[in-house]
Amino acid sequence: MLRRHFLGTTALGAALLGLGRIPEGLLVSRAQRSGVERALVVVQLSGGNDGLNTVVPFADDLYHAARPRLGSKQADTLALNEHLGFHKALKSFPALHASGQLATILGIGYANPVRSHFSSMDIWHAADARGKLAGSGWLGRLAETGFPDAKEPELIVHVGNRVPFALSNKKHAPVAFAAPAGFRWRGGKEDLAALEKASASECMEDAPTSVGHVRGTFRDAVKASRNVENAVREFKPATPFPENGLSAHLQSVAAMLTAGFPTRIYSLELGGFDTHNQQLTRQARCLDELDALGAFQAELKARKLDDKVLVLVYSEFGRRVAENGSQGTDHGAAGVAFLLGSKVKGGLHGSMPSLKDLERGDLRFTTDFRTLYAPIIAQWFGMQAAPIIGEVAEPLAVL
Amino acid sequence: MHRTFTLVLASCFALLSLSNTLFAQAVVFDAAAARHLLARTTFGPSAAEVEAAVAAGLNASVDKLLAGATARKPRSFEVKPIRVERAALRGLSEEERQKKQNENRREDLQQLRSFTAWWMEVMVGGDAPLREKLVLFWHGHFTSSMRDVRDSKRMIDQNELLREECAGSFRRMLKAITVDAAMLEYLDNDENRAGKPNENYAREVMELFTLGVGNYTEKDIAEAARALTGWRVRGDEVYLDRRQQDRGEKTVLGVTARIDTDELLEILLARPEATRWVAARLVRFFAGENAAPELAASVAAALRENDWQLAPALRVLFTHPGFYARELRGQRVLSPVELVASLTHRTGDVVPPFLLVAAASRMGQTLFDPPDVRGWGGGADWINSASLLERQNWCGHLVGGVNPRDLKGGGDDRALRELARSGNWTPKKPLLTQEEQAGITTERALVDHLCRRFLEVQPLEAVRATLAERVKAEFVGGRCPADKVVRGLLKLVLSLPEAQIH
Repeated sequence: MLRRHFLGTTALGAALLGLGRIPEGLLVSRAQRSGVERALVVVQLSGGNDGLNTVVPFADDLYHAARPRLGSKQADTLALNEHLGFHKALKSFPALHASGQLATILGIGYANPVRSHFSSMDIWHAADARGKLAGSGWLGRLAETGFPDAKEPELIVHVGNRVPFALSNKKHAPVAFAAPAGFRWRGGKEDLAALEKASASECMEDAPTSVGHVRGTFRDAVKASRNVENAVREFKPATPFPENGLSAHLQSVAAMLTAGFPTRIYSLELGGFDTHNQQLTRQARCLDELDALGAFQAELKARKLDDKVLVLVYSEFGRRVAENGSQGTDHGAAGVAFLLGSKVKGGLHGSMPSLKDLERGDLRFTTDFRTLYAPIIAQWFGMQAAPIIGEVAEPLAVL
Repeated sequence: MHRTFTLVLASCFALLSLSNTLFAQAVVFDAAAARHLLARTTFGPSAAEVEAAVAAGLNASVDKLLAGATARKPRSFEVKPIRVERAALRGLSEEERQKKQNENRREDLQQLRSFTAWWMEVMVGGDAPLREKLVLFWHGHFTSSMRDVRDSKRMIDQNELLREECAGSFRRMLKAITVDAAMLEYLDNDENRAGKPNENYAREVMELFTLGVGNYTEKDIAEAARALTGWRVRGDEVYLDRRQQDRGEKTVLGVTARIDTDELLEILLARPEATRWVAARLVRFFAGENAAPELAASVAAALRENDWQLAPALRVLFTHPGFYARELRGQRVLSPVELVASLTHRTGDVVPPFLLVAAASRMGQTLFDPPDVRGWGGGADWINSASLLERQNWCGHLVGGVNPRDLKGGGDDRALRELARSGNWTPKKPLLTQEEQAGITTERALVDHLCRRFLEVQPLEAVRATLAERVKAEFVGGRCPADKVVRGLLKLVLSLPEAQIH
């Protein structure tokens, strides 16, 4: 709360001094000076992203044998090393890789892989083989244990319509919105005041629990929507962003970061990866959107916020090694994940699974996804990982 | 005297053997219970409808609902194929082809929009509300999306199929949906061929449609996919291409034979997990997430005993004491479509149906465009900070009028863009009849009237007093204020947490 007060008063001060619109540079330094805390931005690729065509093992003959129609040749990929190349839609990735800001985690997955979208996503969300039965998500537990006293409704923000299970916890309900412009209560000030008064009423014993839940959501929504409205109004990107859905959501996140939001976890979703058919065009379209991460990182750098932000990109599973009969691939197992940020130890992590030794036609995982979660909890947030995701034998050296 | 006693005793035993556990007591079908039944099975019951249900009693009320759901009716929406014939593209340049296809796509989407508007209208004011509620349920169960099935006729035909069987036979519905053109396309089973299987439908038919996760193996999926091979779609015709069908031996769920599609579905239907799964889905939708397990067990038993006939199972659900448990009442979050349809049923306003469809879409539920193959999650998931504000704002627009400036921000709905261009929509008649107005002489009476008429869960005294305070100045000389003020107050009532649940 304090930080926003600070922002508010200095903005007012600037206006009183006759500066009019606050210059961009001033905003940058202010957000920085006010001590923005480290934040994690999670981008979930829903539907099961085909890892093999995202980071392509073009030098492996078995790859081309399994994918006569879907395989990419070296020339069609963006150079990573002499064996691997990024999908050609990920135009900003090679530079991020070369400058050490991008960690690419190969062969990521878990033991006894589940090929149901929902069950597998639940496992990633819960960081627990029991999925939803674990009761809460790993990011929810992280917020609960790491920030027990946080009072701001914006501690966890999901930009999108469906709040993922990863965020669920008992203490900090996530704030969610898709488009900032539609995110406010429309009506007269006096009406809103009456509603706020009505929702502040404390005598709740007789009301059903569902009423209390909605009431809390309303209070958070009113507060958060005002803050988001201000943040977005004051934000003008310093970097050209591409025009697509994920890009718009990333710009909202950049606006909130710039405004010094108290948010520690931002969550976003990019769907459309369930490419059972027409994979070449469909995956390219999705990854083209994902490439907006390049603009996002450039924006953060321009605002000197880059060392405060870490981006995690993952999907519920990779896809079957052999293509199916419809120029697509069916649900698989191990896939690829990314970690992006100035504090990241860039480069390749984990190891490329064998294309020969498959498990029911799928890649065997070489890297448990919890070994990626562990350093995020421990190194990024400075917390103990074990209470949140259990003991992890060998955390990845990604941070 | 003696005879009555035996009768009572007999019916007690019948009831006991039916539920044989916690719920031996009968349902007290008072006004609150009737309101609960109608809130869950129709769209926004009015006071008169609740009164009529109480007078008729529980069994007759449920009979009436089910009669509406099972009645055979000719289709009332004319649908035609809107497709570009290959011949029509011959000889055209790439640019001309693209143009023709785009025009066609627009026209095709227009047909789907018209149908969606028709569906919304029958939800709001049709004579078989339970039927439409069930179609909405099945649209989320056997779901398909217009994003993948780019053919309105197929999407509409699927919806009509769900309507025909909504309270009929689950067996027939499962078999029809498996070879339904839209579903074949949506889950890629039209591309599932012998030697080149596509597992998409095989997995979802077990995971989501019949058994639930954990009740089959990955091997079962691979084998089931083989049994499902060979289906193709050409225009409106679905046919089995025997050259593409895998007629070899397969083993699914312990059964080894030359299993074909029909036999595979019979194997699934024979599993005890299937009746349990379908019953659990129905109970969750109608009763809510916290229903006692006995309720789903009774519904599953009814499905088994009636060879997958849905009407008897629904009767068990709606007459079961567990359905009327206190802890279930007022705990279910209305889905956006239910919210806008219920509201409009109660105002009696003639709102353009496309506006209702668009409003529900802004709240997070776009008909014919589910978020994924699971359909809509439902329950508490409907409410988050963004969707709650949209629900409040749009309920306000739907009772108070829509202004183009309200339409800014988020969403790319074509209908809303058209509305924004064409000006606005405002209600045409007062919310209160003259008689009602005459009876409302204080601000508290007005608040109470609106709460009783529009909410299933009554707000606490302190909340109602706060709302009354807001309109106090408008009551001059004990006269009910103008319609605009009444509707302004209604927007506040609809913004209460109580308006989100039933």
